[in-house]
Amino acid sequence: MNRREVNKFLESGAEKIDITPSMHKEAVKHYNAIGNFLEDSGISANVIPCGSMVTGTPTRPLSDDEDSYFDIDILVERTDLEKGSCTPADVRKPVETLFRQSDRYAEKMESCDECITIRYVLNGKEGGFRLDLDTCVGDSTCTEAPRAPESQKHTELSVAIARNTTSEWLGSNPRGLCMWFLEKNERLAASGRQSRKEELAKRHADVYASLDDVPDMMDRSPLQRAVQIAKRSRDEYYRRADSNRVPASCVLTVLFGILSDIIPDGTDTLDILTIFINAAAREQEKAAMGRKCLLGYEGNWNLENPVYPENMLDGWTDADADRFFLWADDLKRCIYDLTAGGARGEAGKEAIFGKKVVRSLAAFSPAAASSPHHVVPKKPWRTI
Amino acid sequence: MISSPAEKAARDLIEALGPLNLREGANRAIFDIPYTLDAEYGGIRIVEDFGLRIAIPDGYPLELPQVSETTDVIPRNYKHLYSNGSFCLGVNGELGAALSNDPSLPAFFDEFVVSYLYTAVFYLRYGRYPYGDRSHGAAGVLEYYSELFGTNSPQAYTIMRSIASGNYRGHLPCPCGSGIRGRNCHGKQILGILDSQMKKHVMADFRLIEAESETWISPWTFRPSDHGPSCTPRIFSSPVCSSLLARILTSSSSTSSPSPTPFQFR
Ligand SMILES: [Zn+2]
Repeated sequence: MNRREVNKFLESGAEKIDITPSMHKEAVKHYNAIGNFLEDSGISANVIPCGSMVTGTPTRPLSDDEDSYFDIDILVERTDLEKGSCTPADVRKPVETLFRQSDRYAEKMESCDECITIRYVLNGKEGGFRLDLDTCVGDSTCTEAPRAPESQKHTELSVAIARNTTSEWLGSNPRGLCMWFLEKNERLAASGRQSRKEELAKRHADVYASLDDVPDMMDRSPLQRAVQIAKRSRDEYYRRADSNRVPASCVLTVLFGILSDIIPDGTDTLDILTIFINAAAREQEKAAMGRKCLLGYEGNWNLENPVYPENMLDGWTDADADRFFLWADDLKRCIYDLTAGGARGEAGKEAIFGKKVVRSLAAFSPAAASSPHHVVPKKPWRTI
Repeated sequence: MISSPAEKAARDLIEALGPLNLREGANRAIFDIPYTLDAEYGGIRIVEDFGLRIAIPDGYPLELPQVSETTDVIPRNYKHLYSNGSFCLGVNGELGAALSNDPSLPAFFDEFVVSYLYTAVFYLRYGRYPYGDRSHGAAGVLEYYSELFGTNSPQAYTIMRSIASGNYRGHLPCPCGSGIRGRNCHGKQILGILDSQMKKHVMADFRLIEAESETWISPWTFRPSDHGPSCTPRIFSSPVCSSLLARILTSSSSTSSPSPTPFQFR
């Protein structure tokens, strides 16, 4: 494939793992319904999405069957309570009780330490989605402002999340992080947005009656596509490596957001991925020389959350960092293999998106693709 | 032109892999070939280009072929390379058994070399062995023979010793220690080895275990029941030997009576 074809393939793959317009519409309908349900039951709360649905970077989880679930993060921010005069249990317990006693939600809900999950099954081949509800109160009192001046306006979006098994608040700023990323994204998204939305309206006329119905949240800039591809390739890589020390999606999103400052206008998805891969390689070199880098300094792996005083790599070991760099390097090889084509290209596609997605993109594969040798497993051995 | 097994193997390989660059070596034919690995295991496809050097000894298939790389896909510090750079394709007996069943070099290549290259590239990319690797040295040899005989390590060792010493008799108790007559136990497997080229490989593997065990206290003269567990650390000087000995002791203490289930390695 030439580089234009590679870019086209990557974008098509990203679309395959994206939330569909109909599923997105369903999700919006359901979290709005939750807001109304709580309101009718006497609880005032803002029920708003955050996370990858808002940043425009959702990816279907890896799964061998068709019914994999999208996890959609939702904040349930109580506006009838204040952090100073209530406990986490005051915030969360009444909400949980309401769902449990409701005919509509009791069957669909589950509760864990972090959140209340409501599961929706969709008909057809799209699987379904889960709304992960974080019950919280606003926490604009968070005084320890982030260092970057342009991020400080987002600190007022900070929240204190109520968990089940502890009386401590969990401080966080998921909405602020989304706003920060969307601001970074805007320069790279604005110019192509109109035509991309027209295309969406045309191809999904069953969901969108007109161009005005296409939400901005469903638009995907090359930057957003690059994040989706990175997330998917990460999932596939760590599955192959049989490792659960997976770098968090928010870490990848922040890294791309920071890098966006050096991405020229009009850069396509392929080049953005390449910029990310090259940056990772430079970080690895700098870290090896003990020099300050984005991901840490002298062995203390550190990525500052741009909108909240926290190290997003808290708990990262050197082994975690090594694995992260190995993955980025592997993604580089995969992209090279796409351009090489043939069997190499096919293997590269599968390493990025997983076998299932590649099969569904058969239009990109040569008709008479060679089939691989089936390995007879033999264990290597040697004398001492 | 006379056709030795080694020459036939070379011709088969040329037919399977295309024109080869032939180099004459001492007592062996050496081929340099470009080779594209395209293999899949557990749904994961790996494609990688190699330059390979294949040495076919004149004594093939009794003597095993050697394979090494002329490219540098596999770094020299990869665990499963001999110091001369040739691939550790497997335990001698395992390779020998395959060649004695089917002396075709292309079949051997498809089975062992493809599996070896797949494992190596998989390990370099993903940091783990897709279907495991064997311990080095005697421990790995015993792992293979334990799987082959369906026994634990000490039992595999005594069966090998019986083969090497030539004292197997079918009417006597089986060397595995089951208490059953040999002909009703491992007799068929043992005779199959004694009557074939396999005997040579089993003997080589046995000598390898013996050579390794000479450098430390042999477990075969060491009776675990005579000693409490507290004395074990003193005996184990080398970490490699200690893990081998520790395994053997654990397996023999738990299976001092014959056990129908094969010993499982982690
Ligand atoms: Zn026996």
